[in-house]
Amino acid sequence: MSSIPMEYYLVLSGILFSIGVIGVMTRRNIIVILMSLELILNSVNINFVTFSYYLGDLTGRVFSIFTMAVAAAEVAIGLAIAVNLVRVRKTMEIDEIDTLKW
Amino acid sequence: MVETLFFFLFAALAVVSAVMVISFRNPVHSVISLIICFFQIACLFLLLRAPFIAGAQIFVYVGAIMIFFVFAVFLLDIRTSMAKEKFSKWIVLGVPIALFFLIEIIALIAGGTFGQPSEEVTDISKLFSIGQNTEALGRVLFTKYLLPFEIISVVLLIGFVGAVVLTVKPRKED
Repeated sequence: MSSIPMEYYLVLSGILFSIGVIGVMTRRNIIVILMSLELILNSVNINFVTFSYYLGDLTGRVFSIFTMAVAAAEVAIGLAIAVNLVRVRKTMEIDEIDTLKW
Repeated sequence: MVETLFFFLFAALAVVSAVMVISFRNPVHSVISLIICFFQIACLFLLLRAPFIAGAQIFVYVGAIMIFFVFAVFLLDIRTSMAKEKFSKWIVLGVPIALFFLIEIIALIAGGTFGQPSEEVTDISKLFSIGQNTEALGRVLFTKYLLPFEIISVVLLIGFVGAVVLTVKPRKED
């Protein structure tokens, strides 16, 4: 087994998660918000693989593959919506996008 | 000992590049920082003896997802994408909430216990050796988790079809 304690990985994953949360909650640019979401999903992946390694169970790795697939689908749809939004509204700032109908 | 050293190197680079992602004004710079961050996380997966996940991380995240972002940033006008103010007015609320989350997570990790290796796996070192790693993963993926695997592939297909439907402009009727 590795000499690194499991808690190191978990704390790193928590730090990356918090950075992603800060990005989602404070940035105005919709593209950067989507990137912060990717960061959050990746920190979850670190957790999955860490537990998979330290508990000797492959389930965590399988689920990290599922997370990657969901992230790919999410980013495809999210960026399509973002591109359409910017075409229609001529802005990328979510503070100005506050109506459903235009 | 060397492994710990490399862990701290990769972890520090990952955190620094993640902070750079949310602090750059230009989205192109954020994309580059996020690519660096994903490479560091792939290296961490290698340290966790998961070479297949590390490869998938580089192929899927850096190769596919970040290329999506690069194209989206380039398709849109860079002047509209550069916001006048970087952060919204909620920064005074958002940062304390996220830091509270972080403190809570660290407190939970410091005070918790995480269970023991499962009984099924007898020889962990054999399971996680480089050669048998991917084979073992494939066996689990295509036997025990076959139904979730098929469902996730349908989700991915619907996602990409939806993206195409959303971005293709309707052809004008003559």
